[in-house]
Formats: sequence, C-alpha cells, structure tokens
Amino acid sequence: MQIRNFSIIAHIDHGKSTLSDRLLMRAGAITEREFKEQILDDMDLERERGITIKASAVTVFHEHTPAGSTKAEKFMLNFIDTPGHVDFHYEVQKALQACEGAILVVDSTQGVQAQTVANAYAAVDVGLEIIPVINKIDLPGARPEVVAEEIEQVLGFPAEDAILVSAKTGEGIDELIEKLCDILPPPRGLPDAPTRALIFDSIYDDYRGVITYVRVVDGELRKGQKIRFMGTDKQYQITDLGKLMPRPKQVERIGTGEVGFIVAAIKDLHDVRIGDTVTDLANPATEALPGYKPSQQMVYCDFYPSGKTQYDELRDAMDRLSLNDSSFSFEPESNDALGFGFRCGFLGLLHMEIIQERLEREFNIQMIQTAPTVTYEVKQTDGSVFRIDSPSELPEPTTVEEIREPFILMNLILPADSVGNLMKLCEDRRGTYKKTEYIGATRVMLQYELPLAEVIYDFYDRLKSATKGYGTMDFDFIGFRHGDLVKMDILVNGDKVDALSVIVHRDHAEARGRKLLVRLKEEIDRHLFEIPLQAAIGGKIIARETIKSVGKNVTAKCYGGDVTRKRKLLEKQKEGKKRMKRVGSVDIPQEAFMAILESDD
Amino acid sequence: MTLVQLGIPRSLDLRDLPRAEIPGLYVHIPFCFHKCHYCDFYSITRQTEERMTRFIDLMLREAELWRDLRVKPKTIFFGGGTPSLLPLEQMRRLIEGLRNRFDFSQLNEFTVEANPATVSLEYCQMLREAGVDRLSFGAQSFNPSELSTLERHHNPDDVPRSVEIAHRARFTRLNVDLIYAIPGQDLASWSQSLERAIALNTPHLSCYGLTYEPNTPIAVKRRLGLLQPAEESLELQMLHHTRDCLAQIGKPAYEISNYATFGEECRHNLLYWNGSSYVALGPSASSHVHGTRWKNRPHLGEWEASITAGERPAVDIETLTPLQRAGELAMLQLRLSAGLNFDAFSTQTGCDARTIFADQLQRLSNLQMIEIDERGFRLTNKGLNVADAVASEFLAPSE
Repeated sequence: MQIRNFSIIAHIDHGKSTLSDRLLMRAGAITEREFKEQILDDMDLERERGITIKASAVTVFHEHTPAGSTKAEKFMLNFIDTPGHVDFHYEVQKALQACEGAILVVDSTQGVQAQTVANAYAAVDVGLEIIPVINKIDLPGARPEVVAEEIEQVLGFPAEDAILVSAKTGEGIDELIEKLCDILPPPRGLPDAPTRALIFDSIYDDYRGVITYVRVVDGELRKGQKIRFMGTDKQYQITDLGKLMPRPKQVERIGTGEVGFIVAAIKDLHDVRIGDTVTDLANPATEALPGYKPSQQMVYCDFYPSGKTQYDELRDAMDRLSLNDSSFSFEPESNDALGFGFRCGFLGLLHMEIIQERLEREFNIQMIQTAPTVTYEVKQTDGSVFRIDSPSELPEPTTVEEIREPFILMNLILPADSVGNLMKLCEDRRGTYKKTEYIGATRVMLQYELPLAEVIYDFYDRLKSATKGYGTMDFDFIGFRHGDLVKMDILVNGDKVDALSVIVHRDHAEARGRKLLVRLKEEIDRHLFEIPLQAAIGGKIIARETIKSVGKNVTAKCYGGDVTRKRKLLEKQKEGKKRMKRVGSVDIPQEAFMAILESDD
Repeated sequence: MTLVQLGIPRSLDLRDLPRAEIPGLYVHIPFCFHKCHYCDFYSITRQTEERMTRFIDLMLREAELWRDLRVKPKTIFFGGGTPSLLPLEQMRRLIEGLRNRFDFSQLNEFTVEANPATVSLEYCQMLREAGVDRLSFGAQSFNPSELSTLERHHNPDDVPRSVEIAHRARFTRLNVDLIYAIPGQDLASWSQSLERAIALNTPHLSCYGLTYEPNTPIAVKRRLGLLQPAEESLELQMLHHTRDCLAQIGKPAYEISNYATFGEECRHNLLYWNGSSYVALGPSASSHVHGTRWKNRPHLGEWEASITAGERPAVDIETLTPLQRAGELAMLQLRLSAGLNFDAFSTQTGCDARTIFADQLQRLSNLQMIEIDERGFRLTNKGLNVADAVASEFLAPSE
C-alpha cells in the first residue's frame, strides 16, 4: 500500500477547511451532511472565527491507478491540518515536518496574500513537494489565470501546474487527488530500524489523559509496546493506538511512514514535548529526530478576576485550559489597582484573544484583561542577560547595560495605491525598510523589520483601514535587538504608581507620556484638591498635566423629602470610589489602569 | 440583616417606632396652576372644587391614621404645590381639622407657602386667624425674562403687593424665595433681584442656585442644548455675593441657601437639618421618625386609594443603622453655618464625632474645607463651594 502524507496550507479564509472536508468526502470518509458541518474544526470557537487552532491528522484510503500503470492501487492518504493564523507559525511548522507534501490553497478572488507567502516558504524550508491549488473558482469574481500568474511570479511555481478547484462544488477535486497520489513522494523510512516517531501534536482528553499525535519515521509502534520519549526521557506503555478516520479508530500498529495517535496514561500535557522523538524502550534508536524550535511566548498581558469571579476560579480555569494548550503560560501577579491576578504569556495576539474567549465562554470567567506588552531582554553591567515581561522587573538603570526588544520581519501585501500610507505607518513604528516587490500590476509586497512592541497594539487595524481591508500581513520573529529603551514612570500627585510604568523608546517617550497623561486626566475624577500628573524618566519629568480641583458641588435645596435621596446619591458616589485604587490621597479608577496600556494614536 | 437590606418591601408598624414626641408636621398640597419648569415636587395642575374638597377629607383621615404616633407639633409647614391654591373654606377646614386631631399646645411656628400672584387680604386674614404666623412667597426673580425662563407666571410687582397684603393681615414672619444662576442671568441682574428682595425687608430670605433636577423640563432643555446653564464660577460668585450682601444687612446665612435676622430662622426647616422627627401628610411627602424614614405614595390617586382603604400610605420604609444616622446627621448639619456640635452629636447619636470621623476631620481640615474647634466643625468658605463632596466623606458606602 502506498502512503502519502500532506498538509493543506493557505491564507486565512481561502477555503482550507472546506477543501479538507471535501477531500474526506470524496474518499468516502464523511457524508454530505458531515461535509456541511466542517468536521475537522472541532471547537465552536474555531468555527466561529473561521480558523483552526489545533492540528489534526486524518487518515483516509483511496483507490488510484498511478500514472503509467493500468492497475489500481490502494493509497493511504494522511492529512495533517494546520492552523491558519500568523500566531501559529510554530504549529504550522510542526505539522509540515510530519509531511512529504503540501497543498497550497489560494483563493481565486483574492490572490496571493501574506500568509500564502509565509506558509509556502515554510513548506519549502522543510523540503516539501508543493501542489498549488486555486480555490473558489465557482465564484463570480474568480480570476484563476491572474492568480496562477501571481503564484508563479511571487512563489515560483509554474502557472500551468496550478489545479483549479471549487471545494464547495467539488469541481477539480478528482484531479487534485490524482496529483496527490502521483506527484507527492512516498515517505522514506527504514521499516527495520529501531522505532523513531515524531510527536507533532498533543491534546488532553478528560478520560484518557494526553493523546499524542505522531508520525512514525522508522520502525513501527505497537499496542502494548514500552516506549521512551528521547527528549524528556520519560517512559510509558502504549495502552491504545489509533487513527482518525476521521473518527478515532483503534489499530494494533502504526507502520513506517504512517500517522496516528498514542494513548499511554500520560496525565500532564506538559510531559509531552512537541518535536520530541518516541523510541522503543528495549531497542532504542541511537539518535533522535531533528526536533522543533520550542514555541516562544512573545506577548504578555495580565488577567484579573472581576465581577463575580474569584481569584481561585480564574486560576482553576487557567489550569484546566493549559491542559490542552501548552503554549500559554501564567504566573501569579498582583497589581496596585487590580489586586491579585495572573501574568500570562502567549504566542501572539490572536492566541491571547482565543485564550481570553475560551476562559469567558467555557469557564464563565469574568475578568479584566490588560493591554498586551512584549518580552524584553536585559543585559546587566555584570554581563548577565535575562528576560522580563513587565516594566516592574526592570532593574535600576545604573545596573543595566542595554535593553533589547523583540524584532520581527513583516511581510505586507497591499494594493499599490496604499504603499505610501503603509510606509509612513512602518516608519512611525520604527521600522526598517527591506524591500518592495510587485505582485501583478496592482499589488505590492512590502517588507519591513519592526519592533514587535510597535505591532502588537493596533498595527493590524491600521493596516486594514489604510488598505480598505485589502492589506494582509504576516510576520516572523527574527531576534532581540538593542533598542534605546527607557522605563517611563507615572507620578500621580507626586506618588509613583508602579502599575502605570511602561517601557518605551526614548524618542517616543515624551509624546507617549503626554498622551498617557491626557488619558489619565480623562479617567481620574476631579478631587477636592488639584492633582499634578507627571511622566518621568529616572528623576527627570518629561511631561505634565493637572487635574483641577472640584469647582462647584453643592446642592441648593435639602429639605425633608430630599434627605434620603441626597444621602443615597452621595453614598452611591462613595460606593463608586470603593472600587477605585487609592494612591496617596487620589482615587484612581480601574479604567485608568487599562487606558494607560492602550495606544490610541 | 434587616428587611431593608434584603430588599423585601415591608409595611410600617408604628409599634416599632420609639415613643418620643414628634415635633414637626409637614402637609403637602399637590395642586398648582401651572407646573414651573424647574420644579420636581409632586403636583398636578388640573383640579376641581370637588377633588380639592375630597382631598381635604382624605388629608384629615390620613391625620387620623398617624394618631398612634405622638405627633405634638412645634412647627407646621404647608408646602406644595401651591397651598394657597386651596379655596379659603377648604384651607380653614384643613387647619381646624388638624387642630382637632393633633395637640397644638406646643406650636410656635406655622408656615404656609403662597403664590405672590394670587394671595388676597381676605385669605391672609383667614390664615392668620387660623393660627398661621409665617408666610413664604416664591418670588424667584424680579426680572421678567428670567421669570419666563423659569416659566413662573407672576409679575415682579406681585411680590411687593403680596408682602404688603401680608403685613396688613398682621404677618411679620415672612420669607421670600429667590433663584440665582438662571440661564442668561449675570451678576448685575442677580444683584438687582437681590436688592429688590432686600428692600421688602422680610426677616427671612432663601436664595437657591438653580438646580436641574432630572426629568424636569428645564433639565431636558439643557440636555437638548436649548439653554445654556450658568458657568460654575459665575454661580459661585453669585453665592458669595449673596452671603456678603445679606451678612452686611444683619441677615447672615444660617444654612447654605437660607438667610435670616437672628431668631427668625425657619424652625421647621431646622428640624430637617438637625435630624429631628417629623410626620408628613399628603402624596409623596416624606417623614422621619427617630431614624426611620419613609415616603407617602407619590401619586394622588394611589395615595387617595390607600387612605380610602384605611391604610397608611407609607412606602420606601428604611431604618437607618446608628452609623448611617450619624453620617446622615453630619451630612445635614454641615449645611448649617453653625455646623456640627460635638456634644449635641454625641447626645443624639451616641457616637463621638471626633472618633468616628477622625480620618475625615484630619483630611478635610488639611484641605481647608472645614474648620474645627472645641465645640464642633463647619464648612469654610472654600468648603462651601464643594459642600456635597465634603458631606459625602462622612457617609458610609451603601450596602
């Protein structure tokens, strides 16, 4: 039996999930009704957002007569779904490394987009055979020839190789399956060598513990086999082996080149490291497979319980959530204003939003989320280097030799007439221009190196508005770089408020400080006395504002019937103050602490 | 946990209330010719003789419903609405009826609010003979265009005429109400109104900064941008000008908005500001009896139905905790120029103000919002401008 392992990669909304399901249906693995329900995306949240979060691996069988042959053969097609968003690069790479080929899907109405490029490069990087597919050719606005040329121009795949399909109607699917069987290389592995299987995904199941997805490279896995994870050096016995077809089906063995899952009474998702190699305990391989770069948390924010939610409930919910998402982290944190909560790290902004929504939706958690910040690397004068993800962790300026911030390489694909706007935006955000490439006559690919901190706030919104929604972006982390960064403190009525400190670029500090103070001035009520607001670097004041004292606040009439009403009114005002944080003698509302972290320029 | 805290409506059991004497009686007459655009007191404009006759019947029945309380009025106040709108015979019948139902032996002040446009000598004489000894006229302004902004339907000259009539009816205790910070009013115009009021030489004046009560026509107009409220700074200028002016002529402020010759203060209103007890009759009127506050059913029809059914019309009954009472008393007494007296406060509440308010006193005197001496504390001129913010410091947060 022939085996083909492949992924489907695409820009978001270019029809990857629909194409996956159409392939399953054509192979007889799902019914027409199931096709309509998009069965590969198993979380509600994913379906609502039109994105896939966890990679799944599905096995189907297909009868095919290879080109140049007259005899039909049975093909095992293993396809490994990948997430479709910029934050999940690492997950995409994990999935790709388990394949020999990839279907690159491009929407025939939208053409090549930023993630098309990023995903195609990622697939080329791991040496995959790529089949370009132009999807949605049933739509009235489809321009398959133009898109085929874009694919050739930008990615270098010959235009005539692109397969035209409509995942929705099924048109072109047969040709695609034939190409899968004919063009993609079979897995190359050594059936007789000691077992080596690559872990490319894992999920947590309440009843069975961790379910580990593997691609067997050499040898085989058997039910009952004693195994060892080479990286973590943990030992288990396989209690169950299975494949998704797409429903879970138990199997006795998973052979060389095949894909499936292991159940082995593993209780903690963190015990399974993605990219690790599974080998036989008794007859181990000498060398592990090349692993993955571990996923990096680049974006941080705090979650604080609010409303009816207590701290413990929030902690329990995050514990539960981390059972099936090992890529986010959390540590206890306390804040002057918001009390006890957690500092959380994420792969990116979307990842952050997904976690937040899942906490709220699946666990009924009410919480306050602070705006995101990035991780900084600090080099001290004694030569030591460490990372911080909160301004409060920054040591005394005298002991800091330099502060480094994460940089990304940003690919933007835009209508040509918005290039000027985007260049301006990138320059304002401290970007370094790399290159411009034309895609057809009307679109441009623009490349910039940018500090991540300048991207995480509202860059995407700015891009969308500057390009009337047509611009797309994708970026990749390229390393920590020195920045002229300083910690800016905020003083309210002369008292430094730690929760309001931010790390900013020196050249932007004054403008940012002024903006922060204006926002604070809006959020803090007038008091009985004048309140100076100051932004300072070290001891130096760089911006100031003043909140004037209350001018007039006196009720003219207070007779018999007014007493209760007036008392209640004043009590209510007082009640409002109780939820504020008193710093010195100033009551600062929670909103002020949120506003401080927002960029509104 | 009390029923009030649990949010369960409760009925008023008079046996729960302390048996001490109640020195105040307020009577709410909810009838007006026309609803003034700034007024949020309950009143209705359309009424027939029959309805007013029935109203007096019911008012006297309500008085009977409260008989178990030891109401022994030292002060009576007829407010509204426009009490003087009651036909002469009905007014006489109301006063006599109340005299028959309550013990008037301690009475030493009896005020009736009157509309300067409608009082007659005959009416004033009747009131005087019936025992009323104080009249309060709503003058508001002597500037016709300001009166029309307020939708007051009287002529500036009605006020001196009414005062003259009152004098002829042997009234000496008179009050004139004025409003300042009317949209369009400047300091000069306010001074003129104030001078004209001073010229009437009444022993008592009330001067109120215009308040935009929610859901009044004037507040709606402001929201829609149809009128421009006075600048805060101008309003404060007017307040301090008024205080200076009236202090100079021997009528100093004794409360935020009230001015009087020594001894001519409104004793009834002082009951409110000193946390004393009073019972109120009539729709929407509020009572306070030794820490329990309630309100009568707010609409005439509902109130009538309650009384007709022989039920006391009390709603929103609330019994204050000792600390709430203490806070409320501080809030009220801060309105008085005399301020809060430590000894009287201890006697009344059982709490030492210097102890329970130690933080507030320290903070507010540092900010020069209050002045403290061995007798008590009171607002400074600076504190007066922000009296509500200062008062709120003394209240416990709501449950």
